[in-house]
Amino acid sequence: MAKLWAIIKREYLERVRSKWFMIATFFGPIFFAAIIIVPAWMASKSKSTSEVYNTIILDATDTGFGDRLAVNIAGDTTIAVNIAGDTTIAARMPTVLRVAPSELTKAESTATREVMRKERTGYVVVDQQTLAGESARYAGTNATSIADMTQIKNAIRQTILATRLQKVGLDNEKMKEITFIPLDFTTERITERGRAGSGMASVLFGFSIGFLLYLSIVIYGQTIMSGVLEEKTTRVAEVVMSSVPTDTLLAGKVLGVGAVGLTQQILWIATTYVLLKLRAPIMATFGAPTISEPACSSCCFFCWGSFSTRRSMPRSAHR
Amino acid sequence: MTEYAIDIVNVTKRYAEHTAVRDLTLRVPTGSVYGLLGPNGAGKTTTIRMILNIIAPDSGMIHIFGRPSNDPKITERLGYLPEERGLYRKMQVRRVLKFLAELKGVRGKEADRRIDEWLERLSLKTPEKDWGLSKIDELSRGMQQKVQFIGTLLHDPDLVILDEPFSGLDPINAQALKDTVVDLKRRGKTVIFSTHLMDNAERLCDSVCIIARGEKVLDGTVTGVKEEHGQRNIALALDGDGMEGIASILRDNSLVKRADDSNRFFEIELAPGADPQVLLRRIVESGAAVQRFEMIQPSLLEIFLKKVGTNVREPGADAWSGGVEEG
Repeated sequence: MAKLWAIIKREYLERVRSKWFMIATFFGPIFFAAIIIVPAWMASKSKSTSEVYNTIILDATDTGFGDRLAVNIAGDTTIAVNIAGDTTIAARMPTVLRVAPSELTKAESTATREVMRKERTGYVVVDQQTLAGESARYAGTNATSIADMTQIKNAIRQTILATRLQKVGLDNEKMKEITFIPLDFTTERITERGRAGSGMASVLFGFSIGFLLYLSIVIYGQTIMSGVLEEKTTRVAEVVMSSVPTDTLLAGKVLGVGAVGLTQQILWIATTYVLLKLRAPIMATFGAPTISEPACSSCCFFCWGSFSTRRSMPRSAHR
Repeated sequence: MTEYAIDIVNVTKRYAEHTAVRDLTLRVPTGSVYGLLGPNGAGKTTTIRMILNIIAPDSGMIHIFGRPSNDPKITERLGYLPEERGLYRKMQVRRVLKFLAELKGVRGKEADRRIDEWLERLSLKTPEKDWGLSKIDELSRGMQQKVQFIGTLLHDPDLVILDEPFSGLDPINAQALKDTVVDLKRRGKTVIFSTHLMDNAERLCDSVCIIARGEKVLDGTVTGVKEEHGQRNIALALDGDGMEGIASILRDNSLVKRADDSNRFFEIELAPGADPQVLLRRIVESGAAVQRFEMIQPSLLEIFLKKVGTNVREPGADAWSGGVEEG
């Protein structure tokens, strides 16, 4: 037992004293927060940009398809427009140019030059094949933006659908009204002790704990492996194994590294708690208003933060 | 106190198709300095690892001080210096030594006292500098070897096993090691070391065992082995002049059976029936300036070469120059 304790002590103290521990303890939460925040930030950056409204629609259908498409691309953000007239331009709405099929090539060349002069973001070509639901074209500087392309593509689909519905005598708005069902489905978990709160919250909590366990096993498992490798490569293992059985050596390593992991996570939780309690004076130091506890915890500790932020959000925000 | 510190009976160890140790039986008397001699790849390190219970033999029995080698209580009486030295590089010297001491049952202030004593003894703690506070990777190779050696002896083991202890040591540290081995012997400790440096073995060992290709070739006390292989050998030392005439005399098969030529020093084995006086007369007549002409016993090296030969390396052992070695 004394030998096992000696191994645990060495594994624990040498790791806790190392620079790696200091760095990981300090930057770990920042890193984990970054894992959550950066993808969210990237996703927000990839939302469709206002540039999508600065496009030209080259309408070679001779059916007013381009005008309806412009409205659909603009969506809710555009001001009320009158599409009965020739070409209606709203504040944030693509420009529609009606062209004959024979002049489409020339119109495309003109539009390309406008895009090259950065006067326009790009142009959409709609023709008979588009009406048939077969093809449409887009060219522009934002052609690599997945969000912009998805918005335009969906708008074209929606416009084709509306056109087809009109043909069979159905009103598009009526159809939207019938098919739109904003169901608010809440779930609540019941345990042996009664109601246990939101089912979604339980799922998120379980997911968070599972993720933490997964990370812990991967990170600290790798630490144990690198420790064994170090002893094998430096030949210390031979000296140690001449003094203790191999199972004692492995048990000492696992317990020592496990204790390091526990220490690290306790430090993270304690830091989160202290920051949470002292957030008012800290924020005041930087001249910022105090943020709510859930929001603060989401910044301090991504997992718990994610959980509590979800709980504190109004239901409409979830939708 | 048992008569034998180590008692190995019919031990065999195989690795796949290769037999590292074959039916080895040897006994190391308690309180002796014992040399495990053999060429590279002979099975010395495998034998040592089995003694230390790092690897288990496929068959046979090993007893240390009368107890099975896998008895946990026996490990605290053993000190081991491996051939390939290794320490925790990022750890402080003192902490490494304390850890090694704790593994052998020496704790607290007693461990600190012994560490201080040994650091001072091996000049790693002086009024100017205490290397005990440095990290291992801040030490020179020689200093690291000293630290490893301290780790081997810190718990005052009854049996000290040194695997190729002289490899990589400079003459000063090698002498310090020899002095320590002699001191251990004086204090009644048993020292077993593997080496292929025959002159060290000859000077230090009470008993030896020569193994080759995993098999014992011979064993016994150094005196006994020499007597058993006693020959009419002559040590001849010459001054610089008259070396030319010697070559033809050494080639005379009626006088000389074999000669080990070390430039101005020769170890000569007389041919059967040859008269040493005739040899001396002919050397003097050749004009060589004789500094020494002495009848001697054969050296361990000579016995080793005679018994083992020069072609004893295992197939593939030439790759040893790349750093892979197994004693």
